[in-house]
Amino acid sequence: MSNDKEKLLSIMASLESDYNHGKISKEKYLYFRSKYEDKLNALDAREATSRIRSMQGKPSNDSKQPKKPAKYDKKEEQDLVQKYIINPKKGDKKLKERTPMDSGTFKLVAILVLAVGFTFGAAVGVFNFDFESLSDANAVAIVTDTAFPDVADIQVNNTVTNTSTTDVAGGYVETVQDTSGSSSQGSSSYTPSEPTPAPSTGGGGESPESGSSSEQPAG
Amino acid sequence: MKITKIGIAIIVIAILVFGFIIVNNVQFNNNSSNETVTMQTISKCGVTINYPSNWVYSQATSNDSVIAISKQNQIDGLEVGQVNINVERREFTGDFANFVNKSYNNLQADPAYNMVSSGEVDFNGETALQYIYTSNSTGGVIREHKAIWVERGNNAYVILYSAPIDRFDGNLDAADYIISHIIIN
Repeated sequence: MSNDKEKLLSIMASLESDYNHGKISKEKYLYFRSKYEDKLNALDAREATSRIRSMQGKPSNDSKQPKKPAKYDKKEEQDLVQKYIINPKKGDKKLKERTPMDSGTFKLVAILVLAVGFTFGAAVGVFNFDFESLSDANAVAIVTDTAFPDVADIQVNNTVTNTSTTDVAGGYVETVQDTSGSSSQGSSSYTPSEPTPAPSTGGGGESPESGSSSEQPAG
Repeated sequence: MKITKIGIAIIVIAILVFGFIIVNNVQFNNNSSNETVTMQTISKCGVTINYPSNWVYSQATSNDSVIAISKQNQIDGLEVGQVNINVERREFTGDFANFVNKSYNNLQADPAYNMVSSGEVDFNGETALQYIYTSNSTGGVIREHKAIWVERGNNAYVILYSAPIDRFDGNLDAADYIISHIIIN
């Protein structure tokens, strides 16, 4: 009994020391202190009851108490002390896994994300930014060349072909008449020559200028 | 502590890689003059040109012009570019090839223009129409032109490289390089 009390007092002293050194918060300190004080009071009360019973000649209740719950309490107490008061051991992987991401790691990850984002964004911006603001004032020279020079539209000559056949004294004369015309105008630099239409009267001559031709096969 | 060191190392590496990319992506050596020429980029109305720094941005007189550049050391005293690349755009209806051919039918009828060659070429993986012709309409100076026509929906884009006939071939490689890096969206 006194052994438990001594342990409890020792733990309370350790708790006090941790709190004074700033290892635990005030809330935790008050919580565990009240808890240990309750246990201490319970131990005192149990001790007093035992004394009274022994004075009355009655057997003590200590022997009736099962050992298992006591062990369980002790184990639970050790776990609590280990968990909240004593710093976790370096080799305790189980406890290490439970450690949340501390603020330093979080800051580093945040800085990394920002740095990568900034670098990527800057690279995209540099490669796509139009550094040359294309105002006419920035033009250094004048370009007069164009693929659309001022040349008038050309209209294709229309050709009409008339063919007539006339019987002449047992034979025949076939006359082919081309009538060409051009109406392309409007350019100061280009004036196409305009063929003169000359209808044929069925003679035997050939007039390449007029585009007419007469053919008279032997009858 | 270890994570902090790794983080710092990653940041330093990222900055180094970023700097390396910037520095090395925009420089190349001009072997002929042994001068460092940087590549520059200009974009306008969906047309992007990557051109060396010995070419400059120019203003074209044509209403159809989207963007134009001139070779810096080929600008005369009146600030008129002699060796130029001019990207023009004109809306058309009907067949693209017919539209282009019609333009050159008109040109061929003009004695000031002489067609040198025409045909289909590859322009950044797509088929384009190429016309090479000369003109002597500007103060008696004969100029040679290489026009590459590209279709974009109802718009016909033409990339026109022009130079005096005696300087045409000398600047053709640079012009071809620039033309091959033109992006028309």
